[in-house]
Amino acid sequence: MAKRLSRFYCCVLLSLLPCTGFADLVVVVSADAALSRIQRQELKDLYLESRTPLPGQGRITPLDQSERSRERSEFYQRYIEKTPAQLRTHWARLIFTGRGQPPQALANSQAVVERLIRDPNALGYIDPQFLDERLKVVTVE
Amino acid sequence: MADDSLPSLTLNGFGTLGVVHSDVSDADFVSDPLASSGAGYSGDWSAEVDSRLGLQATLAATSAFSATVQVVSEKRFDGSYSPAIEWAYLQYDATPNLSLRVGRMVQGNFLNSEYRKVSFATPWVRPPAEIYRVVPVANFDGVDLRYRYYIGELINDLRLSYGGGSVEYETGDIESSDSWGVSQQTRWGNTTLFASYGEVNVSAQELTQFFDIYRLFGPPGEALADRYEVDGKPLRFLSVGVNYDPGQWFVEGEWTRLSSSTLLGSSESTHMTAGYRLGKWTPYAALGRARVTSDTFEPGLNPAFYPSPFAEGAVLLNSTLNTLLSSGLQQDSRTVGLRWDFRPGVALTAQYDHIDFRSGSPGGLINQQPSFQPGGTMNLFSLALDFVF
Repeated sequence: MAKRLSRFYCCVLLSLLPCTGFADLVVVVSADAALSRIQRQELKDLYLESRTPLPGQGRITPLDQSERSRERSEFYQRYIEKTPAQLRTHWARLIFTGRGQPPQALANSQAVVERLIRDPNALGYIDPQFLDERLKVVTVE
Repeated sequence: MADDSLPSLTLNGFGTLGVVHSDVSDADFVSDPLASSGAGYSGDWSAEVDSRLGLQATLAATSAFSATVQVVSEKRFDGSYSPAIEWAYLQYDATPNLSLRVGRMVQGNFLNSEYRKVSFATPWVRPPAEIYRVVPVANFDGVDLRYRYYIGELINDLRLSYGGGSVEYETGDIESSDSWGVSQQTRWGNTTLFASYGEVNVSAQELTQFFDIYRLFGPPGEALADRYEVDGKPLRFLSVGVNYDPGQWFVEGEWTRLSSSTLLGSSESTHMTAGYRLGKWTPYAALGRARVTSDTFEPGLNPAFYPSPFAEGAVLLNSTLNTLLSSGLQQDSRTVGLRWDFRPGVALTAQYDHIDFRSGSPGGLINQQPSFQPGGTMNLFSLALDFVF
């Protein structure tokens, strides 16, 4: 019984890991970008309300990853706090009333990196193993 | 850099494949009050009430100019599925927060008005009739102005619109003119607050003819025509809505009031929905209530004052007038449903509605057969496959 219980707790602990493993995902911009920190609410507004400018920062283009990617589901769970079903309802409401389109979705972290180094106005999220000196990690407050 | 993708063309679509069964077999349940057939009398199960397909194309010419067209194909009063233009406008973004549009658009009378046909975007199989059937003409050709502004953490969207439009039905059409509206939506975290006020002037040739006949009956007839005529008098809509959606569950409520000194009278409606999300499953429950607050009976012309055949004519006119006055929606509805988001962009929803018509109210049912008695109850069973792409 004790063995079964400890196994149970192990499973619970393991299942909590992705929630606390902040190293698995970083929010990044080009090293040339002015932005270095962003508030969680600003990040939500940027990804959920297209065309929302951040005060004093000018226009920022948010980048998504493919709907099947681990990075995307982790990003929306951790920072935007919306389920995929909620997001689709949200975007259906905006798209079909002419209020906006969802952020452009790129294939993977590599594609996001390539876009960011060409576009200092863009912001994305990537797996930290794709970080290099051409990029800057944005602190989410 | 941001402009290297322009001009760009975006295509989107939505649709519903739905069937509904009504247990009232001597009249038809319809979602669109101007439809010519529905579920109940015309068919045990009807696929016509909720099924539709919508396609939308947006051409962004520059970062400031864009054009959008949305066509919707659904069962029309004439039996065809010929597509109708729901939206078709040119948009100019003066700033990222201020845009001006010209063309055909949808009035923002209620919280979900502008996407009421995109069933995927709402919790229900169809928008609650108590609220969403109040407005006779939803589309308008005209202009609108949208302004987004921020107050602290509040995201505010203000919309002003002006225009006119028309809708056809089996034996005529309804025209609206000089319609204007103002709506304000405020989002604060998980809370959305909505308020709207609008005025619409409608006219229908059939009604104008009806009142012209009344006017033949001298001063009493003229007084009745002036009292109930629709043409030239505004219908005033006031509505408020609230939505709270922290993710795991949601609750939404709406209230609206129609005021007019016409045949369409005045009414008040409320609706409330709550749902809980269990992974891909969303069970929900809703309550609705609609009441006519103006008189639903008019003594009309006194036939004793007129010689035959005018006396018989007066009786007939009075009877038609009272049928129209009592046709307003007066009901209490209870709804339970279950939505299953089983694939990205596709959801299956099963819904049960129990509707209690107030005495004398035909509950918006059409094709009423001689055996139909107003004031009863109706049970609806609906199944809908909603999708977006």
